[in-house]
Amino acid sequence: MSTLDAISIETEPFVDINDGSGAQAILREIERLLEHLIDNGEEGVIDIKTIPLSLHEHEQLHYVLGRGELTATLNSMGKSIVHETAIAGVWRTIHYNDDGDVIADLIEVTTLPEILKSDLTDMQNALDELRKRIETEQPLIV
Amino acid sequence: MMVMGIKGNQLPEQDREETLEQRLKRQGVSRRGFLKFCAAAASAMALPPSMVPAIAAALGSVTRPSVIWLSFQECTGCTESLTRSHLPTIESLIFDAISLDYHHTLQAAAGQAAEEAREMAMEKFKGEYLVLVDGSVPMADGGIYSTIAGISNIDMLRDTVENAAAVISVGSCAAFGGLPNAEPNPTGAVGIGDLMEMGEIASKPLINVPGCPPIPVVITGVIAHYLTFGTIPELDHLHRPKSFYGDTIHDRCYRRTFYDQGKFAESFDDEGARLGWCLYKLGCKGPTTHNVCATTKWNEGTSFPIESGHGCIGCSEPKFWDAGGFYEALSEPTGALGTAAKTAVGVGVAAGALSAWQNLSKRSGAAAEREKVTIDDLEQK
Repeated sequence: MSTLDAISIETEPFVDINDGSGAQAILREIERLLEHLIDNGEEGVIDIKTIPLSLHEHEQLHYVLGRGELTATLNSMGKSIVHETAIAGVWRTIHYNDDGDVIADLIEVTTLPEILKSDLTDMQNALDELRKRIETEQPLIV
Repeated sequence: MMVMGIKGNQLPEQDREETLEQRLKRQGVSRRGFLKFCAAAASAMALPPSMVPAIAAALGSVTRPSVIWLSFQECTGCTESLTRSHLPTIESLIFDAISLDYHHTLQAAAGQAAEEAREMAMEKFKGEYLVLVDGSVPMADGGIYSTIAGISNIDMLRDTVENAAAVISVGSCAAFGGLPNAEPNPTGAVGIGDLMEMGEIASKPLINVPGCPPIPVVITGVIAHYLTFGTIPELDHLHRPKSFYGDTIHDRCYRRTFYDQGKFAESFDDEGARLGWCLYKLGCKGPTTHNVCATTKWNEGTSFPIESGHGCIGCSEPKFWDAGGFYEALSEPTGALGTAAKTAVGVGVAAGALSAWQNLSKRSGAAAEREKVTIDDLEQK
């Protein structure tokens, strides 16, 4: 055992000190954005990674929003998880890097997050690919 | 850690001409992956996520700028900060997006070969390359206290900045002189902005990214902003990007709640400290320090000094080393003030203002260059 190992470590209980007002403020902002989306069709997004929230406030925020019925996973440059919350039109998108660290955590107020839509250039390339596959890749007939 | 080739990172011409979007696509990254990169870049640049489409459009059209990184009187902490992040991350992608032509800590080449790489980049990308500097420049005795390949720092800087598009000072030493500039400053160390003002080097658009060291994503965020928009971000009076240095640590501190309630730790092992109360009275410089530690945090978003139980030392501000003790409260008396005034600091917000005023009026020299704050000032924020 090294000298460092001989030093005992005592863990202090985690003290969560915030009163939840941060979560309330974000929820009110989401309410305003959703109203705006319904009335004007304009989308909104909040980057909650850059907002100083305590664990309690994070839990409060996501407890209120709840979890909807749709979840999508993207595997590109690390995983991304997109899910609709229980509030229709309010989505949460979490981007991770290859090491599993969160690099962006977004609340998107939209009918469908942009990242889920197919891109026109990709579709044009895909059409060529499809035509090639139709010519070259026939199913095996036993 | 990335290590550049024998003569810097000399890229084939077609690689330099590629946009970031094209490069990522060639590496098998889809359009969705690119949008994800842009979302992370917006977060790193402290831009609103509504800017993601603009970032995607910009990154789809810009090519890789040449970057020359000069290290002078420094401890290499800034480069360590930048490169310690786990790969691949947004940082490494940003480095994929620029052409790092000279960085004597990271490149394998040394001496003449390294200097040739720098000179080649300067010639080829005249007027277009970006200069990043970490470390201060010694000006005493003809600048003899720091040389690279026999060239004094000031001569190398003067030569390199002459045809640069812009200069980014990385770390407090390059921005403000930093620790080498601390009293009695035996080497005559100065920051890059001062050298421009003194007429010692050409005046170019300057971005200061102070910190000892700066947060990795702040360094890369500033580079990403320049890469993305081709312009320098909005700056404060000290040439710091407002997106990262617009608020004080105190403005965004999770312990602010306790400050507002008047609950302060009185020592590092008292009940208040254990309960996570405000560290203002233990010398925290958060109220006068502009940086994003409280939101971006360190070690991949793990925590920041105040979260670990220590006050902010104000390392992103000019002359932080000479601005009074790290453990003296901003409004605590440094001289021989009366007991009543000392007590006032602890007993109430209004009373504390008197003590703060008395104390602040006594500070001079280095401390006088720092932004002053009183408890009343804080209450008004």
